[in-house]
Amino acid sequence: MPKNMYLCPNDYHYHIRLLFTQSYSLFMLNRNMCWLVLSFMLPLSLEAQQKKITLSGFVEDRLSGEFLAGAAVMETSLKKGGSANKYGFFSITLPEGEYEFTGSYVGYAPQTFRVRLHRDTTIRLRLSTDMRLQEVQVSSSSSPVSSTEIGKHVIPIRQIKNRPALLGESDVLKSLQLLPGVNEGSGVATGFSVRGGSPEQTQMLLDGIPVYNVNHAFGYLSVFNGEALKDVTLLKSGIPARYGGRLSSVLDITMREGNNQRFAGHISLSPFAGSVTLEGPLKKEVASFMISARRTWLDLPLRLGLELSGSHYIIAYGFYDLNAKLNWKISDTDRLYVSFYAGDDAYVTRWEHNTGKYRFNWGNMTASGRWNRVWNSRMFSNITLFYSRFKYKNFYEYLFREENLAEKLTAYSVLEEVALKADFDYFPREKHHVRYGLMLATKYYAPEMSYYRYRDEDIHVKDSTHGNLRSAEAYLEDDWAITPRWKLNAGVRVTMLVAGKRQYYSVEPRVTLNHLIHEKLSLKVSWSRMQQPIHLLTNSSLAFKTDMWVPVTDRIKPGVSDLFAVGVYHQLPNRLEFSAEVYYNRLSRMIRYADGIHYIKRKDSSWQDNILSGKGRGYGIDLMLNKPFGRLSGWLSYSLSKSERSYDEIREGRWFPFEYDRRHKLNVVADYTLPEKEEHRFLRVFSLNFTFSSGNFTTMSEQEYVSMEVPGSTMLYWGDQWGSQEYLPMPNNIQLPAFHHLDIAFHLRNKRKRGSSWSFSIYNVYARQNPSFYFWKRQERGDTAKSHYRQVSLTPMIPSVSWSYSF
Amino acid sequence: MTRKTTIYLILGCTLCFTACIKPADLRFTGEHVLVLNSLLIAGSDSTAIQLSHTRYKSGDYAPWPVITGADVTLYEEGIPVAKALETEGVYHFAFPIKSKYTYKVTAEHPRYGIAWGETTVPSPLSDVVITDSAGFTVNRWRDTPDEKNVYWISYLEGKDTYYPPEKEGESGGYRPDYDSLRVASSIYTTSTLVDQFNMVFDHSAFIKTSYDWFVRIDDSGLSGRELELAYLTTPKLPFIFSVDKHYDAYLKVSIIKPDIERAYSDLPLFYEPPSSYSNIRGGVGLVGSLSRYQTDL
Repeated sequence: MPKNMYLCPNDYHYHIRLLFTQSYSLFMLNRNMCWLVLSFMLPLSLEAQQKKITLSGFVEDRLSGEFLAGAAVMETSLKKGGSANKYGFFSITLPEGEYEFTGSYVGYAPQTFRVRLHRDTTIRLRLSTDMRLQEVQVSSSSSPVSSTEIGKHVIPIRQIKNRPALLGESDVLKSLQLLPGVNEGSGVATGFSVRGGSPEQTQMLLDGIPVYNVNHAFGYLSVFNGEALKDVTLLKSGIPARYGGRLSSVLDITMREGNNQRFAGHISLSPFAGSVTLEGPLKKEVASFMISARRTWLDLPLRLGLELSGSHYIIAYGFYDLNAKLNWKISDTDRLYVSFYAGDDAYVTRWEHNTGKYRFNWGNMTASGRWNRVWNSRMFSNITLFYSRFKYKNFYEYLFREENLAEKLTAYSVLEEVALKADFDYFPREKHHVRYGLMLATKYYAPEMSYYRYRDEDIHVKDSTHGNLRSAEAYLEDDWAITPRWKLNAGVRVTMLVAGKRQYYSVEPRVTLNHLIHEKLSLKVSWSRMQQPIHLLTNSSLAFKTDMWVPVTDRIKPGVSDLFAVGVYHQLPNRLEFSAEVYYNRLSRMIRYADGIHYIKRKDSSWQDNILSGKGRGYGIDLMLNKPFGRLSGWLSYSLSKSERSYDEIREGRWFPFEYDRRHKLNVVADYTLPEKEEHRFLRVFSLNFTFSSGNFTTMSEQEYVSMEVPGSTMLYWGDQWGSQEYLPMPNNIQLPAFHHLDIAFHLRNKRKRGSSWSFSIYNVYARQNPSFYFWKRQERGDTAKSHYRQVSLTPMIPSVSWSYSF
Repeated sequence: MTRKTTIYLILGCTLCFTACIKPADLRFTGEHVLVLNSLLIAGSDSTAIQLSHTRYKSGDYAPWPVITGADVTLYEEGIPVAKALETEGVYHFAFPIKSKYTYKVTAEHPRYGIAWGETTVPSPLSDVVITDSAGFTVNRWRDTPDEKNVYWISYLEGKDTYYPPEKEGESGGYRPDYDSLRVASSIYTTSTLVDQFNMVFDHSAFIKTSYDWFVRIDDSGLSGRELELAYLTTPKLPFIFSVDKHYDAYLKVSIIKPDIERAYSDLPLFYEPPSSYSNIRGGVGLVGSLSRYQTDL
């Protein structure tokens, strides 16, 4: 490998300066090829920094060969070490000598080994798991007390699968909503809100690629198929510099790579959906694949009922998703991955013997290629090229058979993103873990397009701003153990956005400081400034709530947040962990449709013409008592929070509640593994969830008022139809009733490689009638009429059985 | 099956099928506020003010509340120029409304406080010619330069009533029945000037694009130009309004609102009350203005 003679090899700060200087130049040149050159050049220049001895390598699952992200590797007596990165790579630098190391990961048996370090050494650490260990003797990968991470939750997929779920379909987002500070939306308009932020303020990453729509079935299920996932990490505060583009939090989900040891499969059936997962080696220990497909069958009984009743009117709703991943180990240092995800929801109505059809569908597609390389024992890189698309489409068609003509109306919104990014992990000295990277991205957006076609005539009904948003981002981050008691994660993210003729620059500092008061108690403080280049507008003018992703433009500025958090982490006896976090999130440039005019745009006018820009704030405290291990595991959590918005045009700028504001939230989550014997075929697990939260805020009118007269109203008809107007004093003017339910499940987990597993669950055991939606009803009795709101509860007590088979 | 099992079974089934619709338990805490509606028409010597307060939607329908004893004032360019006279809850200003002037209407009531709204009256329509041509009504006028204008165009339609001869030897005839006049429900035009917010496709019609109630024309990019709009039919009472921004927004919302309500009625899953447009501080309602041209062909 050639060495760069112009750099002082031990001065990594020099490299940092170089990185930013070069990245700026590169962007100005707009030469993507130069970007690749940079990726090569930096690691080469750093090779000479090997004065101490480094132990590096990968942590893997012994049975499947999959990497274990976040696994801990620790020198036993010195208690020095660290966590593996997202790709299982770790690096520890120590003086020459003989050491004992322990590798551990949640759900796996810890493994201890001795190594004599007299030269740089690379190892593959393979950890084993078995059913007994998973439930009873699991150990922590890294302690929340000692790490610099604040507001971080890592939820094992096994724990997600244990959660009692609606119609037996366990779900990632629903499980995360049991964490403190994480809320669902209201009723069917379900969203995923972290600490009072709106759903789009959480960066949803699947294998590092942004996913824009995360809901199936109007939010009752997420698009993330648990069978295809490896790990789930949620960051609520202290967002490191390597993440960018959202204002409140990050949900980082990694797909499984596929078993590189043997062919395996999994079939799962629940009343909601069915899924099939296949995986195996293409070449043992060299290349593997994983493919998982899921489809609902909620539409089948509905269609069957309508067919049997002879109805000429067919209504159907369905969704599917497909995850696939290939990985190829080119050499000990290079590995390629190809990931693919596609998912779609569709609502379809047909009538009059297929002469008319209405279809509304929405979904995502992502694809990525990734190259991992270990440059040397201290340098790891990941280069990714990805494509992500979100699209929704309304389509109406009517056939005039006698005339052999069709009338068609199409309306759609689309967001596409193509990006190239490079991330580097560098371990320059034993106390530092440096991460840096670059990303170049372009987003194409067409938020609201519609066309009408009749005979051969096309009419472009509505159009608006569409085009590209280009961005260049660079970050630098260092995890620094300053002293044994003080740790710092400091970084900065620099972003340049090009929207039309306007450019936006931002510098986003990120700092988290951890003071270890004693071995089992720490105090952490963090500040993260973040910027969001796209916004989500929700349009309900078609009665369906449709997500419209809109970018920063020369008129609409990017949103900005400052997220502050202070947390106390305490390791208690009996493997209990306690945490308390106080946070404050200050938001600016929050956009929303102006009330009363959001559905009255004209041709070629833009969504930007009807936008209000304001500010927001979210603050509160999250308390959590967690018992992650043992026969009885789970947590108890409580959140007290407030989330508000303010716009100059609404109530003279006074604060009003945000729709995701939840004042109180209490969660109880427990898994209990029953005592087992060797001869038992199943591991028996009893699970329980209880959640209580204050009602969220929504906009409903309690009062009405008389309409304005029109000119010459003595002549003009302006009767009952326009006789009254709704009085809405402010957005989100009413708080809905409290939302709570208790769910239980009993799981029979097969302990062998092949065999069936069963889950019996009851959702909402005591049949709490939580509101799903409201509607306004007028009842006439004789000469009098009464009107009132009615509440519909769609999720009463629902028992379910689900079955799965592994082979 | 034992009695105990039967009870458990019935209890279980009851709980399972309690996905239900019931009256909503919502805690509304809002109080009534003043409703102030007033439309100022350029050239008019008298202006009506509709003063009321909001009423609860739930429960039995009741007449719109009337507020008496309020102090209602008209300001012209910030100077109080008239006090409204009240007759059994109906308020009127006797004051000539002038184009290009800014007016403010305030209403003060001991119980409901002060509510006010402000409007700038548009310039009068100029060079207006409305003609009848081969089954079409052709509207021509000139946009006011250096002023943002929005035009609302429609006509009144209704029955003609036969009237008998007043004297022997004379013939009878047809006169418009003014009580039956209604604003046109659909206006058929192919004009490209028109805002398409209320456009409807009618594939069976001669002109396939029609507009509910009104056509709206925004003068963006047309400032100072001579404008022309032709629509199918030759009505008796065509009119053109030039409206201020508040009344413009209010009309748009009012016209589209029934469609939104119908959509929610068909699919209440995502019910959201359609909001109206108000420019009243301290209350709700609208103070708007217009200049108009109206004729009988």
